[in-house]
Amino acid sequence: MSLVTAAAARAVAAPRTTGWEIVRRNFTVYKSSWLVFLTGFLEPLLYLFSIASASAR
Amino acid sequence: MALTSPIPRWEMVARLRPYWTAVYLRTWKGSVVTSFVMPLLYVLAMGVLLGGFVRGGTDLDGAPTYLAFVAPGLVAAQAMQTATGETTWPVMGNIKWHRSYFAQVASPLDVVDVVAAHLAFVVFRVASTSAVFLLVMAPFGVFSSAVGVLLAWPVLVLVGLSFAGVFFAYSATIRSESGFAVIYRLLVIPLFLFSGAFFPISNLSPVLEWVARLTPLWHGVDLTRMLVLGQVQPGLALVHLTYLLVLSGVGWWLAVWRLNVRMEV
Amino acid sequence: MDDGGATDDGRATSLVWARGLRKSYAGFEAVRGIDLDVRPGESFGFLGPNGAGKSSTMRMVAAASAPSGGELTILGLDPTTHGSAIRSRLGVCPQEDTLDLELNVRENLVVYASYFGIRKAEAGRRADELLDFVQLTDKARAKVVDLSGGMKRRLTIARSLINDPDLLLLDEPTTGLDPQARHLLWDRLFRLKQRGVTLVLTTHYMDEAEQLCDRLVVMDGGAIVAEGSPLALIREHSTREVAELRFGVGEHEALAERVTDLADRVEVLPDRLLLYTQDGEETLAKVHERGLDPVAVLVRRSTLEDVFLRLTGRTLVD
Repeated sequence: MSLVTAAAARAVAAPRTTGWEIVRRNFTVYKSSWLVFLTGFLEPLLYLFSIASASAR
Repeated sequence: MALTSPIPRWEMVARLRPYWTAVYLRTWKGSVVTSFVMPLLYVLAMGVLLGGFVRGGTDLDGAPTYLAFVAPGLVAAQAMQTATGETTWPVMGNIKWHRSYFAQVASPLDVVDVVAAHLAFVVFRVASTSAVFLLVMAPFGVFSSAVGVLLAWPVLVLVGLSFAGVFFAYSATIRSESGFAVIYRLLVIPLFLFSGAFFPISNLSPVLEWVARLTPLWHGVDLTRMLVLGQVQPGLALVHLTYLLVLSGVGWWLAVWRLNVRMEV
Repeated sequence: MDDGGATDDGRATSLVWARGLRKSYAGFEAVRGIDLDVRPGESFGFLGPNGAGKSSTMRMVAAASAPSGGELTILGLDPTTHGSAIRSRLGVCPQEDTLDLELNVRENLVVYASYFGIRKAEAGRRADELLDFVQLTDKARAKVVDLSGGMKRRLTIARSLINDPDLLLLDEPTTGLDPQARHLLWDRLFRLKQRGVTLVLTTHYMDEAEQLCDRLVVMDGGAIVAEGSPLALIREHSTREVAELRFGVGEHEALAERVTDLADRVEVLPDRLLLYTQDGEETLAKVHERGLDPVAVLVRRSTLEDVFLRLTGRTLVD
C-alpha cells in the first residue's frame, strides 16, 4: 500500500512538461534533412519567377 | 533436373504482367485525379482564363492562341509528372517497405526483368494519360494537324520514358524518402515552369535560355508543340528525338545498374 | 563426407556443394571460407547466433547474391551463370516477409506463381492445395495486412512451394513467433520432409535445430565450427546431462571454484553455473552435501546450446 502512495507522491512531484519537448524531438529528427526545408523556400520563388518571365516582353 | 534452355527475355518480363495488373487495378482511381483532372484544370486556368489576357500578336512560337501554345506544353509536362510519380515512391516502396522486388528476384526473374516490367508499366501509364489528355483537348480546336497529334502520342511516351529511367535509378539509390522532396523542388518543378510549357523560353535571359535547351522537358515540349501545330522543323525535331532516345537509353542502363547494386545488399 | 577436396565425386549428387565459400561486404567478411554438401532428401541446418553469416550464406545458396570467393554449385549448376534456372527449382522463405500487403492471401500465391511461368488456372489449383496444406483456406480472401505473424509465415511457406521446388530454403522460419505458431510450422515442415523435399534452414534456436535437422553445421563469425547430426554433436562436444545452479547476483564466479571437481566441466554464466556431468541428479546431491544452497536448480539433458557454448564460449542468443 505504501508503494502506491510513494509512487503517487513521485508522480505529483514530477517536473511539469509543456509540449516543447515534442518540438525539440522533431527538431532533432529533422535537423539532418535541412536541405528539404531549404528547398521548400524555393518553391514560391520559382512560381513568382515563372510568372514574371511569362509576362516579360 | 534443372532447366538450362534459356527462356526469351520478353517472356520473362511478361511474367510480371499479373503483378502490374493487380497494382493498376488497386491504384487507377487515384491516378484519375493526378493524371487527368489536374492537367485539365491547368489547361482551363492557364489556357482559357489566363489566355484571355494574353494580347494577340505576341510571339508564341507559332501558336495562334495562348491555349494552343499551352496545351501541348502541358501534355508534355504531364508525361514527365506521371513518369516521375511512378518511378519515385513506388520504386522505393518496392525496395524498402513492400519489398516486392525482393520477392520477384527470388524467382527465376532477374533484375533486368524487374526494371523492364516496371518501365513497361510506366509506358502504359504515360500512354493512357496522354491519350486521354489529347482526346479531351481535341474539341477545343487547338490542334492543327491530326497526323501530328498521332505522332505526338508516342513522343509523349518517349518523354515519360526519358525521365523514368533516371528517376528509377535515383530512387533505387537513395535511402530516405526526403530525397524525393529535394528532386521534386529542385528539378521537377523548375522543369515544369521553365521548359516552355507556359511561356516561350526566349522570354528568359540568354544564359537561362541555353540552360533550358539542355533539359529534357524542353525537347519534349518543343517537339510535341511542333507536331500538334503542324509546324515541324526537321533538323530541330531530329535533335529533340535523339536527345530523348539517348536519355531513355542512359536512364535504362542507370536503372538496371543501381537496382542490381541495391538488391545485392 | 569428402574432405580437403581430394575427391569431388560427391559433388555430382550434391544439391548444394561449396568449397571455401566466401562473402564480403565493403571490406567486412561475412562468410570466411565454408564447405557444404547437402544430400538429396535431407534436412540440413545452419545453427548460429545473429551475425554468424547464416543469412549471407543462404542468399548465396538462393542464387540471390554472388559469392566473393570459393566454389558453389546449386542443383548441379553454377549460380553466376545459371542463377535464373536454379531459382526456378528453389523455394525461398526469407527472413523478412516479402508478401504483397495489399493483395489478399490467395492472390499473393497466384501472382507469385506467374513469376515462374505457371499459368493462371494451374496457379489457382496449386494455391488452393497449398492453402489447405498450411491451414489457411478460410483466410484465402483475407488481406495479408490483417494476418498474424504466424499466419504470414505459413503463407510465405505456402508461397515458397508454389513451383514444387526440389530444394526449400528457410531463413529463420520461426523467429518472432509464439510457441503455438512455431509448433504448427515445425509440423508442416516435418510433413514436407516426409514427402522427400530437401530442406535447408538457418536458425538461432537450438530446439528448432534439434527438431528439424538431420544434419547441421554450427556457424560463428563467418566460419563453421562444428558439423554433424544434433545427437552426434551433443555426444562429441558435451556431456549427457547438465545441472544448472542459480545463486545470488554476482556470486557465480566465486562459487565456481568450489564445485569444479564435482563435474566434467563447469561453465560460468552471468546468471547461473552450468555443471556438465553424466548424471545431473547425482551431481546436484553432491552440491547440497558441500553445503551450497542454490536459489534455483534445474537438471536437464545437454542441448546444442551447450555445444555452441563449448565451441565458442558464448551463448546462441546474446
